[in-house]
Amino acid sequence: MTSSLVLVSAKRSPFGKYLGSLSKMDPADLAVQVARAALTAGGRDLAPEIDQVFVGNCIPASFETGSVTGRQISLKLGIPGFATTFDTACCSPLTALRTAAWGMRLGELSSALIIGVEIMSRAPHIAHGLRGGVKAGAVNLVDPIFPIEYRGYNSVAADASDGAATYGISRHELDAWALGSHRKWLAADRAGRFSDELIPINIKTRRGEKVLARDEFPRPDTTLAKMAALPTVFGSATTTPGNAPGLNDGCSAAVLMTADRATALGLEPLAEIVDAAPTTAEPEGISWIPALAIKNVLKRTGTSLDAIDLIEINEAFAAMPLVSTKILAGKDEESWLRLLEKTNVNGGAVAIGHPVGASGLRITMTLAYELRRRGGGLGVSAICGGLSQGEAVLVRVAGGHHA
Amino acid sequence: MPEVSYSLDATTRLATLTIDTAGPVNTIGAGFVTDLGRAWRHAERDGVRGVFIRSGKPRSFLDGANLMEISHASAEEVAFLLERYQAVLQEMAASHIPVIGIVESATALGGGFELLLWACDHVFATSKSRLGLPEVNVGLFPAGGGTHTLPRAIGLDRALELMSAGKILPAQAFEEFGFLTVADNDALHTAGQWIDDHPVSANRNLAAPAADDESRERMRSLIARYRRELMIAECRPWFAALLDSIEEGLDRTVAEAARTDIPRFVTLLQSPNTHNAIDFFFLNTVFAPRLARIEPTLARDIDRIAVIGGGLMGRGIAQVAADSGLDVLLFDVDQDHVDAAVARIARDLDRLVEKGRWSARRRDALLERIHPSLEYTALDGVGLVIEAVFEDLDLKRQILARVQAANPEVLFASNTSTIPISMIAADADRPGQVVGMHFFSPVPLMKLLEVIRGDATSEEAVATAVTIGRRIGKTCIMVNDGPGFYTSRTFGTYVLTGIVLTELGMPPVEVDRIALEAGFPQGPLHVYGTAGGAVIYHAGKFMASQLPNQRLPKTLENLYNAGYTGAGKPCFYKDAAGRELDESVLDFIDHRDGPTPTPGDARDMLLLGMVNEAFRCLEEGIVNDTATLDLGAVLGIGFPHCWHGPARYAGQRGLKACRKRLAELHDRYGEPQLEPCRELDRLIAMGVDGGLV
Repeated sequence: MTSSLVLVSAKRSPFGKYLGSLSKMDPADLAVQVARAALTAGGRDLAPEIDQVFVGNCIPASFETGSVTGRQISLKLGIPGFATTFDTACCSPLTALRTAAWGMRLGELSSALIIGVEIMSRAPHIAHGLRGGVKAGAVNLVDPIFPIEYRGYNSVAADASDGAATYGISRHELDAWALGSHRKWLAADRAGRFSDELIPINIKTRRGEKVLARDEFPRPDTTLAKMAALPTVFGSATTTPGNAPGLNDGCSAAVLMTADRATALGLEPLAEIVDAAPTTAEPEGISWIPALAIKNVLKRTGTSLDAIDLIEINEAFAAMPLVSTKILAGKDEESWLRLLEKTNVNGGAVAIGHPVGASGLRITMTLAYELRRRGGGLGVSAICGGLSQGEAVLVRVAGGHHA
Repeated sequence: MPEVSYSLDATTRLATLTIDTAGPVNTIGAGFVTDLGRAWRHAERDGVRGVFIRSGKPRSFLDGANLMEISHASAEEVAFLLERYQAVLQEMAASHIPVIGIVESATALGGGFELLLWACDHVFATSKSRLGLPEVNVGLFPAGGGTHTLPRAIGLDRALELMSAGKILPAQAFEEFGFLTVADNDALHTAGQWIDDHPVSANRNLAAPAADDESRERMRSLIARYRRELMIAECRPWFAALLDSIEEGLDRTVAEAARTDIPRFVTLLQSPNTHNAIDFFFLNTVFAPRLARIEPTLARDIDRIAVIGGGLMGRGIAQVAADSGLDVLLFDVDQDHVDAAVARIARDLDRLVEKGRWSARRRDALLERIHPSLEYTALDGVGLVIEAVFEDLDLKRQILARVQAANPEVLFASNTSTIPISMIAADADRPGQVVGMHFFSPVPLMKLLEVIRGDATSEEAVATAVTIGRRIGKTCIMVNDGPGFYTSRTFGTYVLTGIVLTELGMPPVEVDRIALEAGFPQGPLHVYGTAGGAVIYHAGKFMASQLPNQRLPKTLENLYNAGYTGAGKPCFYKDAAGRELDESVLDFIDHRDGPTPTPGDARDMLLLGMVNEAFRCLEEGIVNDTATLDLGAVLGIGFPHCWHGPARYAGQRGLKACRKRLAELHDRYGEPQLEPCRELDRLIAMGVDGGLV
């Protein structure tokens, strides 16, 4: 067995709202700010120690130049190692993390910078067929993120709502989870529980530089009644703007190393990455794929669900944590409620926002920080990706009763 | 565009200030006050002979403060707004230029009525106009001088009666006091003549104190009497503010007295309960139509309905329906009953006409639209039948069968308060045409209509029920089927908890006092007598047979068997006002072992008992949203509006705290209704502790 793998640092930007503070930034510039913070979090510059760079991003077209985006970022960071960009939709940054872990287990590398970045506000419209010229008629501009859907399949909003229906989750429950997400975020924000993971972002504007230091999307003063009054969207039965995240901007970054390398560098690990597992399901299965991914990673590591102290399931829609925990709990409602209580304890994407390529790494780092705050323990983070792929990461933080 | 525009008739030298603020009704905000002052100074500069104040809107003269603006403004902003408003009113009042308010088929409410009372020398209003100081309904008190001008205008007795209840009355009701003239024809011309006759402003005694040595003590003892009644619930601080304002103003001029109201008003506006009351106002007026969402094109176009049953409910429904312009066939078992029912409606309306609340024309038109009926063949051409017979499943089924046999197309609404619509419609030929329309008694006064969708109820039936409900002036909530639906179930919990408290050894008078202190309009044992013990017994028994968490207290059975059911028969009180306990009722109380609840426990059993039942309705899908919970509970079953409703109340206390307290009370007293419901567990597990509505 090779050395275990550890996160030695993890940082993220505040997540911005659609067309908000971060919306005009080149994703590469945002990624550089966040990655620098992650690289220097331990009090020393880790850039020279990075073997390779792994970047998750789903909308490369939002970069000024929409290819080899990882290399663009690593050059700006001055990291000479190979950079790879992944697009597995929302799974992207965790696919990046898992691939880095592969490499480490193979002994090919012993340190990696993982980045997840997305500026959805900059996603350009697409005009096909202009090269041949338009002989007559209007030019159709496709919006690739409104709605988010894949040709030949339902919109993801409808898939989420259908999944909720399949598992008996009502509109009221979706709205309640969404409200809880905002309220948990507010409690966490007030208690300063995001100060470990957040770094302020400097934004150049025409009127000078401004700083974004706090998540921009949450609406903690919303109410269940206001949510219940919202209309459903994209042909779904229960998905509304209230129980879904927005189209958001943001970036997460982390440094993954073998424990040996971290020890040699004298770095204090934040968390151990026990294992990471990819899983797939039928294309409409995005609401339950996190449950399957979690089961998969638990099975691979021989871990029981009871041993899990905290869970993060990305709120691509409120349906994901509700459906997935319900599957994990089995038929017993009491166990379901106990699982809900330890899921997304500081709020989720419905409140914080969901920059699709950045969220996977956010939930994993927020899980690690919260476990550390609670004195250690075992946690699992899981995310669904377009066309029903899922990633789950099992995280252990030393010091707790499981250590 | 200015919110008050100025125009001058060069020939007559009479100026007109026209009020037209942003929004559907005219309201007072910072912009309005500025523009009013500006327009007034323009008139002064022009040296006009007189000033008319009118509205640019069809139905609103001026309807009080802009609540949205003042509830979001800072204390300083509110104080400044009031100061400026009072200053303009005082300037107009003190000026020698006659000022006439002209209210044309419109409402002058709160600050709007205060403008008429303070700044105007005389008011001309059409008979369709309505005026009042309803501030207490939104958790406030009249701070634009109303607490000082209205007593001067109509006497302290009447003024207290109106202000403490927030009553709005037709213009005629004020005519006897001299400051207002009802003028239906050419009010403007009449007002012009008035100015010709009164070239100098009238002295309405605003500069003298309201009280003199002779009247002071009488006034103070009157105020003291209101204090005893209104200040029982600390959760409604506006009543204290209202009475303090009047009392402290007795020895001051209007302007001086009104100035002392400013800090009082600002303090009140900090109260969360005032915000609850204001929010409830918006819930009821703005949000409610969006809650009961229907597809209007599905609603049947109906101008003729039938009401079956000429009892209290049936008469009330027939009356409000006919008043809204619908033709109503009123059915009862035989000619005598039908005739008696119509005569009774006529008698009730006569009283309104005598009191000046209604015109004789309105009564006559209404009565012409009510047609006494016996034969179901008359249902031909009727679009909707509303059944309001005894709460008896078999009887309702029989009537439904006869109705559908006579007219298969007709929609059938049951005014049941407890029996599930699906049970009534179970054997019907066309169950899709059966819907619940649950009215509340007394129908002409209670604003709520609970529309119930049975398992088979068609969208057409629901849309029609809601449309008709709105047409007859009701606020509709839409709920799903189940025993007692939402409101009866939750109301039952309130009354039955009251009975249980007596079984646990609490004196009945104390039970009701604790309920009043918690903000309820009537104690549960008082309600038992006024709503009718027989109805409550049958409803309670039915719901206990259907719902696992409901239990029929033995005492209720004892009372029913002994004929202690109120409504003419004995109950807890000897008088209708619930002041004097009937000691003999104590014999029927089924005392049980266990600790006697403390006042704090009793209060929470009443309030949280209802909260728990309301959330159970959410859990079972009887109600789909929290706004409906609050709207239905306040409008239908007397949940205190100072808490906004059970959902807001629970959120403000914190769901975890409510759950914990319920569990504690359930452990201590063992009542199944107090067992915390699953919905609370779910919401708490989802991280929801508040923010429900």
